[in-house]
Amino acid sequence: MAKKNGYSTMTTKEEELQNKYLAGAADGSVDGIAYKKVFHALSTEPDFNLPINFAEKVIQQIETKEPTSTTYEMRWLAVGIFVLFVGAVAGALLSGFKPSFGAFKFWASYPGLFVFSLTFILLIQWLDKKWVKPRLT
Amino acid sequence: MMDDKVLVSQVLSGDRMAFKQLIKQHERLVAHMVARLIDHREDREELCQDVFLRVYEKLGEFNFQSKLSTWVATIAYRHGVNHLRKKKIEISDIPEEESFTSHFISDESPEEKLEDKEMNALVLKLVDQLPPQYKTVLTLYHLDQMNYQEIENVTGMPEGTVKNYLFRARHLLKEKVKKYLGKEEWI
Repeated sequence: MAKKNGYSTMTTKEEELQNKYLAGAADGSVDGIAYKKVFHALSTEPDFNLPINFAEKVIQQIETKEPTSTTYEMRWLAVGIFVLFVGAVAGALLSGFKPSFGAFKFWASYPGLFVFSLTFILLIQWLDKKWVKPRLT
Repeated sequence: MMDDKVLVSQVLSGDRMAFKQLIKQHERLVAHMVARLIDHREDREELCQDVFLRVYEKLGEFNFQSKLSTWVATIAYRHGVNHLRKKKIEISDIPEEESFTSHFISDESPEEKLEDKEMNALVLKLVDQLPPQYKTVLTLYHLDQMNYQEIENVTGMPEGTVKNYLFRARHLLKEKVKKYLGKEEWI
């Protein structure tokens, strides 16, 4: 459809020119020369190059983002502890288990023994840290 | 060059060397698109890295309906456009014909700004002033030798629009070159 300003006619002419150039049949007209320069410039590589080690950089980023085997192990440990807890609660509920401190009531009669035990364990730990471990390393 | 299917399956099986090869095969294409779309040189390499990280994440979803290069180019295009949106850079629709030239390329004489710079530099500077979708179709067609169908797949624009953008951009550039050459009077 021809427009009043004749743009469609010009478009057809320009399309023909461009198609001629693409088909390798450009003429020596001003438009042909100008198109030649435009097409040449358009096929010029941009002034931007990625570094030689670009691929390595990308792979390094992928490896940093991916969870390590230690992370996987920690996740499995957390899942294991959770399942153990749920199992214990479910087992207690199903079997009607009632917690009892019967064995620990024994300590009530011997508070001195309780304090001594606690102090002794802490002392052993301190001695181990202070004297034994430094000599091993 | 390794077949796309073989390469993709190797990457998906965790072969890092295969992914390195995939990057090597497509880095030129991605660099072209990013360089044309993004003005800030500092952002370009980071954006290229993001494109390939995305390719790695999404490779399992690639269904071989197109060439791998077309798919990679699609990701690069979307990343580029999203980057422009984040930076609040206008992604214009097709402008009105009459205002196209004046809107995107000033009528200021190119000689005043560029003086003795080469013609290529002039044209590429003019290309830089075009809207992103014009730059993309020009790059994919002229630099990466993609056909209309492939450009349609990459950009999501209908084939007719792709042809129209190519035609109008070349025409506009040609007119500017003619003006620069000062050969209008030859006609």
